[in-house]
Parts: sequence; structure tokens; C-alpha cells
Amino acid sequence: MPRTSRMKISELANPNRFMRLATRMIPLFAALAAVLLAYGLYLGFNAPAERDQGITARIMFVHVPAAWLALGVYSMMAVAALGTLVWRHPLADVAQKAAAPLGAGFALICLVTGAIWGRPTWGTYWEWDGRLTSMLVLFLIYLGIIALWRAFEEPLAAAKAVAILTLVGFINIPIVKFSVDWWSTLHQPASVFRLDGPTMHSSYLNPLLICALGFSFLFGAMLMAAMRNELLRRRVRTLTIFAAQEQR
Amino acid sequence: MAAMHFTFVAWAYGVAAAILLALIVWIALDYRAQRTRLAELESRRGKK
Repeated sequence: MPRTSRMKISELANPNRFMRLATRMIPLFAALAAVLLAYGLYLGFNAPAERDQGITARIMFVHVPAAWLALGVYSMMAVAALGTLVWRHPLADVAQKAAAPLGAGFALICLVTGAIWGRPTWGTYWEWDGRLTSMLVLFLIYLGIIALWRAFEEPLAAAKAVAILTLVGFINIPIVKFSVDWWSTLHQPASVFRLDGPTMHSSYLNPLLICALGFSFLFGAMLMAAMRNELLRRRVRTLTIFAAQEQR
Repeated sequence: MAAMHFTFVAWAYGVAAAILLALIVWIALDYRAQRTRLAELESRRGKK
């Protein structure tokens, strides 16, 4: 690996340097997200109405990126869990804690928009089938992880317990992804990430991919901001402990 | 029919925007709270 790349990765491990980097990157990521989402939704809402579903197919531009991010954020948290347990990276548990509410938010968007889309398409808001139920389980795992973080006073003790729970919960990610192939379900099979290529028309595929990129930048901005908050919270905690010790 | 379908689309985008806005507001308020608390503690230490 070139020396410059190694320097950059090691710089990110330093919380103070991360805080300075985040302060510069958050507005940039937020601006990119706004531009991409505006352009993607403009293209999507100007696409011709879908033959079977009419205009309700346009719900996909928010539903599908939210589903991808709910799965992607959890996968990132699983890597961060390994970073906590194996590599002891100083920012791994910070990233994991900051990402959990964001992942829960994207899972909730996926569930609610899916239910709203399901009513005119399938005639029901909810069905206990493989895809919908496994996505609900993913949302509940996110809530469990958030609750476990709050159950511990000491962040480092919480980090280990949460890392183990996150890795155990990762078993649900392939279940969500392949549920439409393994079981009979109301949900349509994958139409973008397929071995034989996307089956979706470019008038819908292009805005969908642009919106997904926009949501990814939005997640990046929110993650950096939430990580910065967590680092500040830990600084506050340390200073509070020092202040209490000095008063004794 | 199209008007009814528009209602579903509007609800889906409205709920998604509300959830994202709630996350952004929560992060912004949390940032302000932590900065305020940190400034208080640092000024207290500075006085000693």
C-alpha cells in the first residue's frame, strides 16, 4: 500500500482529526445528497406511468433506496463490530453506535412506504411473508441494538456487548435479501441486483440509482454528524468524571 | 383512480420526509446540547 494511503487511514483513526474532517465533509455530502435527490426525483416523476401500477410505482424511488440502506448500514455495522472486537479501532464502536438509529430510520421508511405501496398493488398493507417479516425483524434488531447501548453506563463495555449482538443479528441480512427466492412471497423478486443484469427499464432504473446515490450521501452526512456528537458526548462524560473526582 | 393513487404516493413521500427530518433535527439538537455541555465544563475547569 502506498505510504500516503496508509497515512490517510491512520489519520481517520484519530478522533480529533476525524472531527475536523467531518466538519469539512458534512456540508459537502449534504449538498451532494440534495442535488442528487432533486435530480433523481425530477427524472423519476417525469418518467412515463408504469403499465400495471400507474403512478404508485414512483414510491420505489424512496422505498428501494431505503431498503438498500437499511441492509447496507447493518452490514457496515457488522464490519464496525469486527473493528471493535478484533482490530480495536478507536472509531469502530463510535460508528456503530451512530449508525444504529440511522439504519432503524431507513428500515422504518422501507416498512412504511412498502405498506403504503402494498395497499393499491396487492390489496393489503401487510402480509406475514418472508420479505416483509424479515425486514420487520431487521428493524427490531436495530431497536434492540439501540436499547443495548442505552443499558450500559460505560461506553467500552457497551461496545463489546453490542458488537456481539450485531454479529449475531447479521444472519438476518442474507435472509432479507434471498427471502424472495427462498419462499413464496407477495413481494416481487430482485429486479436490479441480478446475475443476468437489471430487468427494469432505464426510465425507472436511472432515477432509482441516482436517488440511491443521493440517499447514500445523505446517510454519509448524517453518520459523520452523529459520530461527531458521540465523540463530544464521550468528551463531556470524561470531563464530568474529572470534575466529580476533583470535588472529592 | 389516479387521484387515489396520488394519495398513496403523497403519503409515502410525506412519511419518508418526516422520518428523515426527525433524524436530522435529532442530530442537530444533540450536537447543540453536547457543545453547550462541553463549553460549560471547560469554562468551569478554566476558572479553577
